[in-house]
Amino acid sequence: MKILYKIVIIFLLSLLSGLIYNQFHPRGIKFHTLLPPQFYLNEAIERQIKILSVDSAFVLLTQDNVLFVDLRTPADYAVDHIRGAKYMKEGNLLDDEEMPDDSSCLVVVLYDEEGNLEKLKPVAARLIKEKKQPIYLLFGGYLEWLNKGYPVETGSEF
Amino acid sequence: MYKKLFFLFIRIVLGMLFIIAAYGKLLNPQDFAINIENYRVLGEWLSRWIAVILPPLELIVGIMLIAGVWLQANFIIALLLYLVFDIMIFQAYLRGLDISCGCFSTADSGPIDFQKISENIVLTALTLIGFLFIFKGDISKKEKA
Repeated sequence: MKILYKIVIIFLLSLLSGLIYNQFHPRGIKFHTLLPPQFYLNEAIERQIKILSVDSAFVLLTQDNVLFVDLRTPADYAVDHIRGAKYMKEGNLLDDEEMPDDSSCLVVVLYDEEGNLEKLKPVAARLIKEKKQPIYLLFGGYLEWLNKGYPVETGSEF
Repeated sequence: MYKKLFFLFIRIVLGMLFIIAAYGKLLNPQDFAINIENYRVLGEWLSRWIAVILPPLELIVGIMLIAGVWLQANFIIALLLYLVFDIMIFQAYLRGLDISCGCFSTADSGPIDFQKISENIVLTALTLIGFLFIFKGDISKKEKA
């Protein structure tokens, strides 16, 4: 029984130190990303998340005030991505210096491989809460963008 | 005498390996979470939790093994960890996943191949020997505590 208590203590110590370390580490896994989405995705915010078709997104591509954000893996991004898109793993999104403030009226379009809206919504919700910018989710994702033959570029600059 | 020396050797080797593994993962927790997710077993959310807990756990176990503190508990944790690592690596190998192991750092040591599996099996065997030393009574009570 004593051994079990010691094991539990070691696990609890690891958990506590892991949570604290990650909260302060610049590339750490922040606490709010460990919560299930229903804890921070409420209806009011969810209504502010807009869905964008790839055709509409292509029209936006020519505008200066649009930022496409790639949420796939670094390896996928390095192979190819929407022209001009930035790679940001969601944990970095809110701290990234490249995300301008409200006054630039930047439109942000989030996309992943297949347009998994349930996965993208929590990221969009956090952005709306913190940055108060219009956030769009790309319907159909990167695969749909490729199907339509819209411009892509290669590169691993992230 | 030789058994005690061998047991000390096992403790130090395993302890050092755990500390080195923890250090590599603590440098970049987010990339480590991606490494775990790449095994396609746990999903994104659970992978993040593991990425938070595992590196400090390895660090604490490594330090305690070298210091000789709570050896029984730490050898149980070490053995469980290695068994889990073996299962994860082996299933990734069988499924033909072209991923890096993430065993000692996020920018690890190359893809999962037979060599990686063999290394893990050797380390698991070493841990098992230490575990048996402790629980078979070959080590004094004072050292077990």
